[in-house]
Amino acid sequence: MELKIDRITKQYKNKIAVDRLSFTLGKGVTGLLGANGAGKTTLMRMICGILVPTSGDITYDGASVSEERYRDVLGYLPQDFGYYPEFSGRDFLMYFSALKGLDKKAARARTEELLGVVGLSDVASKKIKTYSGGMKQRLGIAQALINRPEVLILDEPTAGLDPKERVRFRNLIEEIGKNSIVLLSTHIVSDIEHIADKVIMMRSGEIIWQGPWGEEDGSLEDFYLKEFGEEN
Amino acid sequence: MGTFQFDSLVGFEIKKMLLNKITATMFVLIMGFLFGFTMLRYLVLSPEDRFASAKEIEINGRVLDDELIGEIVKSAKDAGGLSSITPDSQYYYVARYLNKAVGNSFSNDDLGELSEESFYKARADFLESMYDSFGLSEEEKKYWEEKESGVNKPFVWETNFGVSSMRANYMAIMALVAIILAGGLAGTFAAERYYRTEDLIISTKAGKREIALAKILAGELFSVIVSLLILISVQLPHVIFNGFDGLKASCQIIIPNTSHEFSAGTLLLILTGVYILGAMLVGAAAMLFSCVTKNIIASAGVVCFAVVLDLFLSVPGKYRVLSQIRYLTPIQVLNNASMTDPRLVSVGNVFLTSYQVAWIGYTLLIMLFMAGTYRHYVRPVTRRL
Repeated sequence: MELKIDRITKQYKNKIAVDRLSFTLGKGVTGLLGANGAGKTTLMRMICGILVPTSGDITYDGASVSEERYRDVLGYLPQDFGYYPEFSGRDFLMYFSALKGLDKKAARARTEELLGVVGLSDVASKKIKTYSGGMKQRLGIAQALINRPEVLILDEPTAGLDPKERVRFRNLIEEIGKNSIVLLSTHIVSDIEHIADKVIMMRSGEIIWQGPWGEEDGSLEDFYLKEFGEEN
Repeated sequence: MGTFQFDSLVGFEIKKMLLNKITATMFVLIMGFLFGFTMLRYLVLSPEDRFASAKEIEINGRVLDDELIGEIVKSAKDAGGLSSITPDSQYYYVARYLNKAVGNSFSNDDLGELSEESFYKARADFLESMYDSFGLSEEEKKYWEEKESGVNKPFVWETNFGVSSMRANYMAIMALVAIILAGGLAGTFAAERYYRTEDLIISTKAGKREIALAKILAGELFSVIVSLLILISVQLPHVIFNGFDGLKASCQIIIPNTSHEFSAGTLLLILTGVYILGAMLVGAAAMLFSCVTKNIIASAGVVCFAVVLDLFLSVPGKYRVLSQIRYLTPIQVLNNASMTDPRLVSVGNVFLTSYQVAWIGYTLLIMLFMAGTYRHYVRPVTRRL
């Protein structure tokens, strides 16, 4: 289980959003830290096969990100999570189950399971447009988990969650990270401080620091503020 | 590409279309209005304008020969002219038909000259003048003359309230269906951008290819279902009140000045086919605009503008190619005027009538639009969104 990013670059006319990034991810949670505009979202969209890099390769166990077998094991929650306002939460998850190739029986079972995991069972039949911001975000997390992803890409997943939901979410991610590759982008250090096995820090499209982070390394927040002090 | 959950994907795409409140409301209102209005017309019109009378039914199946024309002339002389025969006469409709078939060329003074021979001669003269007014070439005239020689004459008279009423509806409902489809399908691709769901769906196992196919198939199914339901809502009252009155009549009894050799029933089938293909073409165009512009309002606006333009634009016949193309649009080709456009389209050594061009041309255009939509959607994204 290895997600390999090899000299990946994304250039828009005269702006380089991601500049020759290389790293390899294995099982576990990796925190991607960086200020707004650092290139985190562009990198994640390339890892999800949505955006084609200007140069470089992204492979998962030898499979290109453009292949169906990669998408089959991918879970993605974008920063700006979109939804169909007239769909119910249950419809939404059933739709994504279909998109992710689950048969109807498996889709029903997985949908009910995930609605329970994210605490939306009671409002499963209500239209998403009636959900609060936190409920929508939890629905987004649920859709990312439908296919029990081996590679889970989460772009600012805790936005809109209250403190209690945030703790529950962290525990969930930590659990998933035991068997999957989880890449979690955020600019809130506390989101990853306790669960990330590895941290990657980005600035202006480049990696400025990467490595494992443990309690013995001290406060990640202090380190982050030192590195990004002028930008945050 | 797997077909694992393709039916579910298509179902969800149709659900998205149906959950568009504006389209759903417009669809229900138009369907209700058409059904209600048609029913109301039957309920408020006097019986002679609704049904064939028992007397008229008595002359069903009679040949329009000297004997029947003689009876009509006698009745017309008593009434003061072909158009003066009253609804209580069994010849009321057949007399009006005779008058129309020859371009109202028999005045009251000429009634004595109206016979089987003079009627078919006058009709032939009228066809000839029509060919000239449309600027047909000698080859086109020859084509129609050969067709005309295959039309069985003398005609057999059949009352045709049901079929004639049904035939008259296609053009108007095509315009309404086009507006509904513009609203319903403009969001097929554009709404994913609007709702910010595009990244989510294309990063799933289904991927762009399967999603594009599901959306295109759903859009075409939606077009067929909407067009059929609208057609049923407007035709059902005619069937309820008149059955399929006139279905077996020759095409010339419904459209006097045509040389098509098929029956009125076949004419309805052809029109229904052209109508459904027209709806599919509008649907395919709306989806293409939706995919390219990724803008719901722009996509719906372009289709609605094209409908309005098609309804009100006039192209003089002297610009033959332009005016002929305009007549071949999904709305105009279903025109319910008393005569059909006899201008032909030449493909190699073969001449195609407007209905044939519609069948073939629309099918090709639908495939072209679908392929364009598919290719545009699955192309790799290299720029910032």
